[in-house]
Amino acid sequence: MKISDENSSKPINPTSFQGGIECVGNRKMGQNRRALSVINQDLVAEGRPYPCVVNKRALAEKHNVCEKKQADPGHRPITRRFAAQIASTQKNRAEGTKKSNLGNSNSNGFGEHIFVDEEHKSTTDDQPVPMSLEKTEPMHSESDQMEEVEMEDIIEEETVLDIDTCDANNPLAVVDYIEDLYAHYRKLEGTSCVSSDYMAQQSDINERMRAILIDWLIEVHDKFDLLHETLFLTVNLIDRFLAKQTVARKKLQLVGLVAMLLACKYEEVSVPVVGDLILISDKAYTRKEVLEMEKLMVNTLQFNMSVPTAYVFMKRFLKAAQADRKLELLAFFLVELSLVEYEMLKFPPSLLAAAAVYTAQCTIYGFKQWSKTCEWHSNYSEDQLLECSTLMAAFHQKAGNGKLTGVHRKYCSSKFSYTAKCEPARFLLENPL
Amino acid sequence: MWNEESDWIGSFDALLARLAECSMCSRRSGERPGAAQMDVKILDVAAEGGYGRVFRCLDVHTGALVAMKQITMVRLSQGIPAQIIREVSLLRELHHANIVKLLRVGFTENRYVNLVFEHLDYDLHQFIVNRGYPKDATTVKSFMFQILSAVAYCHSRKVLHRDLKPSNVLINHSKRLIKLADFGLAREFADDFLYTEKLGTSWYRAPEILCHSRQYSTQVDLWSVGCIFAEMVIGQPLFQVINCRDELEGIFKLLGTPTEETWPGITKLMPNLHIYCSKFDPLGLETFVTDLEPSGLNLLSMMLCLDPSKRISAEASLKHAYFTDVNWI
Repeated sequence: MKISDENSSKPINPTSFQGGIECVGNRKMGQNRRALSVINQDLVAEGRPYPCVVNKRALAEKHNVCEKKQADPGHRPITRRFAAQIASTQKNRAEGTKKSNLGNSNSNGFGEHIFVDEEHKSTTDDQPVPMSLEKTEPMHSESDQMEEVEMEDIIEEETVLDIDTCDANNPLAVVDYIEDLYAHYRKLEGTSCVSSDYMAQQSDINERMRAILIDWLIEVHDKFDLLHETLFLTVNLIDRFLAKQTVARKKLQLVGLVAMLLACKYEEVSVPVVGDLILISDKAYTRKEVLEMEKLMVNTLQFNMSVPTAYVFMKRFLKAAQADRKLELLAFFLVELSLVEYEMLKFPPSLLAAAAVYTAQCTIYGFKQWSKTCEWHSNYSEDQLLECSTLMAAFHQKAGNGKLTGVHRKYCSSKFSYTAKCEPARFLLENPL
Repeated sequence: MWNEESDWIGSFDALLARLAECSMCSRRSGERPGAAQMDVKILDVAAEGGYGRVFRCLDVHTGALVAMKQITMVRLSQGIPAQIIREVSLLRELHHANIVKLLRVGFTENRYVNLVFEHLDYDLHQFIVNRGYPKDATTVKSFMFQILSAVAYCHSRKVLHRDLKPSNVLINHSKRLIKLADFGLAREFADDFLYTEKLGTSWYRAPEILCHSRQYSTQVDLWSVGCIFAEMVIGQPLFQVINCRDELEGIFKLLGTPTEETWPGITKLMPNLHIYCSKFDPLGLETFVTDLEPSGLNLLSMMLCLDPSKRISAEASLKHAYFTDVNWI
């Protein structure tokens, strides 16, 4: 998979995506002359003409559309710069080729995607509509290959999608409460985070040992086939405990095991028995030690386990990104790599989650991608994510190297669709902050 | 109505005092572990159950009455029970006027976990049994509104109670206040999660749980609230009244045996439904719940709806016409 900088004129290869359900609602960030609700932006490889036809339909329910999602790189709005990028990939193509493609509605590659044009609602179903890319005066120097494309007729401002409409009849989604719930989580996350320099007060352990422990626990978590939230809670409990209690090196693994035991008791339906935890520690600890540490931990943490971890935010932000399985797995791979890294404690869980989704989108689509919908639901702008995202891209790049490769190995398996094998978003590292 | 109650409360307290003096409950201080460590002075035993005991105590610092729930850790080899971890953790985060306040937690002698709660005068089960149930509609309405407020709050925090029943609904006599208690089976829920089916007291258990569904949601609590509502009106558990071999048959006798039309997915959930029980025509709620105004009966029928997806939510219940004239403060 080729990765290119957003501003480069190199082609971006298409990526295959799995389908998902898409919700399009009526919450808007600005007044649109024309709303591009869903538009396929598969950018094709060099040598094949870019299709300039979309299937256009009138919508029965303008404000609430649920459609099957196909190949759609993040619902990227067609900005001037992006349109120019599209145009530049076709610079030397013959006019005749373009015309022949315009006349062929079956070769457009857009499938059943919906193009919503509020000014032309009466258009008949599936009528091909040409979307010409006009050339204008170049904004850059003559040596610059980029061409400005006038897109104002198509879109002025991107809309924010209502991501909850599709779940209105799902009681588990608690749609009525969801905004309040996440506002509550945001308020709560401040109290459940730890200082990013707590390790300074530990005399016998350090960041590296913490990393080894968490890398190992991620593998244990996978082998035990536990829930996602159990892993995130485990790491939260470890950090909060280590921030309050001085721990000897030989007891660090015990802290990790007991944190996982407590997280299981809180989250799981079936809890691993204490004997199993003793076995995986290679009988390094006795049952008595495990149970004493459990008491010490719950007392130290004052039984506080109802904490919002990065996981709860991941679920929300992946929904906002209308993520398919591929994007979801990649985002979780990136956030799990971050769990191992002590320096990532400086970011709150919500920022960590948002940055993981953002970095995953950048990795898959090959350009910086953070929609208004993602920004709205995460409360983070693209600029706010860049520092964290750059670090994540760096972790991705070195994930298979070094001694701590537990996360990489986990995500290299078929169970996780070989996610770790995808190329990192190197362009995020080219212009570090 | 509330003034009449004081005599009964006095006699109930005396009963507790006598109970505490009897040989079964009388224990030396060494056999009542945890009082000193928890900064409380035990007065008497308020209740006893499979989990352990509840003591009525005095807070040594404030002199206020408190309740200490002492849970015996049965499977000592597995450490602190998951139920306790969930209950304590959730109660620390649930702050609502209609949810009991947890004051402190502690361990004693490796065998007990002590939870100290604010003290309330009695529970709804005792209220119904000793008072011959709340006969006036105003009290029923007030209690229901408060129960639903607490349940709606829990659901807004993604918490299922899963064990709502009259004995877990506590009453503060002087303030006419209802508080939900016993979050031992409560848990945070996810939107793609399989839970255990072995929970809840059977008379208050939702049909989807009785049908062994492991994917359930907030509606299980609303079914239980509906059962409590009916019990407050008729003075005994609704499904105890119906002559049947088990709870599920009782539900089907009352509301009719479900079909794919009335409860989509029931045949998948319970493929042997036709073998399990004969096809009952609904007897109707009005047959058993007679002293309830029409709007109340309407709300009850929406709570006791067989199909969970059509069951009313706690939030929607609070906006129901039944509560237009509610006055509970």
